[in-house]
Amino acid sequence: MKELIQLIASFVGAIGFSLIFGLHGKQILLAGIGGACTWGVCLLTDFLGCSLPLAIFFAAVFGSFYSECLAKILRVPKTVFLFSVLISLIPGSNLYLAMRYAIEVNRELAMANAIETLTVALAISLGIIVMLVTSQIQARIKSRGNRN
Amino acid sequence: MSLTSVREKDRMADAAGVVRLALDVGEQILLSGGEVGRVEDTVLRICTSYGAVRTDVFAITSLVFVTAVWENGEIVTQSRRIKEVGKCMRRLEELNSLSRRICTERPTLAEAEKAFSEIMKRSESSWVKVLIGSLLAATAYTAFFGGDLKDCLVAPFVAAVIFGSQFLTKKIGGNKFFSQALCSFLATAAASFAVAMHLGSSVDHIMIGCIMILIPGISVTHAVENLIIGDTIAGLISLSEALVIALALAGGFALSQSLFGGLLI
Repeated sequence: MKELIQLIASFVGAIGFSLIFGLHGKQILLAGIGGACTWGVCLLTDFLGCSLPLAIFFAAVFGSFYSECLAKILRVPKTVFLFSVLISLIPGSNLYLAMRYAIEVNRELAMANAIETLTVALAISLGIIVMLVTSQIQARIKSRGNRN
Repeated sequence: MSLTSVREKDRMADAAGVVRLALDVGEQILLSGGEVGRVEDTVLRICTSYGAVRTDVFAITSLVFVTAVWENGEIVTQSRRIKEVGKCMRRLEELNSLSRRICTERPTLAEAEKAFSEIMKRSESSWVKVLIGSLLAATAYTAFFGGDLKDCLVAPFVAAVIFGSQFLTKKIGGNKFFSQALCSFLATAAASFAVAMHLGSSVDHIMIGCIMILIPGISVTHAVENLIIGDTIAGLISLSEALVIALALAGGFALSQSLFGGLLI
């Protein structure tokens, strides 16, 4: 039940952020689907026994792959979809809890949540980078192939 | 003399105009949320397609700097100071296809400038869309992080408060730190108030959902990405900006919580 709510919420949330970021037309729906699928990957890898940062990493790889494919098909920059699709992975609750515990002078929990926030942010960035480097290498191989 | 060589001459004569156009496009790509690497690439491509033999571009999130060398030895250097970076993917997309068109079709400078100003007019982002987006996102993420139905019903109102204060502080202008702190102050006050009136059941859940609109999560991710790619300065700048924003949010939240939190609940 909780998972179902999360999937629906990540769909609606990605649509909301795609409106904030100024996407238009069918891009909005595609961003929503991407957001839900990305969270689905996160849930799946979590279910298969990955730790949270690892699950987030795989989800980020999937999200960037999805955005890159769409960007290629629709001939738009990759950034257009990327952030709306990945938004559900952003550790909003950890950041909030870190703030909250810091105010309550609960150092341990504040630190734990702050570290979790950074770890997840790093996992997302690494996921994006892996896709970026892969597509760069792919493009280079392709252009070399054309020259020969 | 053939037509192309006339156009070639026309291009050479207006080296400064070409660099200005390239910077206009680059600046707007940066302002609508494009990556630093894309900005550098775009400026380089536009200058090269109009005949620059060597172009050096340096872009960070607050500055674009370009020096172009033309075949006749003319050297043009221009720079742009970038203030407020936002997110408008529609504009980014259209500018990107404009720069692609400039490189393949090589329109005259006047034509390119006209197309550019048309894009700028056409792709103005509408505040209605941003408002609807904020309401949807806040509601969705309140549910996402475990809020119950009551919280989800309160969340859009808190999001509207956030949107209103963002709109207001943008109108007034002024300090970014202050406006972020004000947003989070008012949002927390609204959430505490709603919970005190028994409209919502948990301030935490409402705020976690609504704070997703405010937190610089995207900037942090973007910054770390820049750092890893090698755009170190751009990455460091956006990382520290994001940290400052997070501090501002925490400050506004803390003040609001200690004023209203104990008082009302």
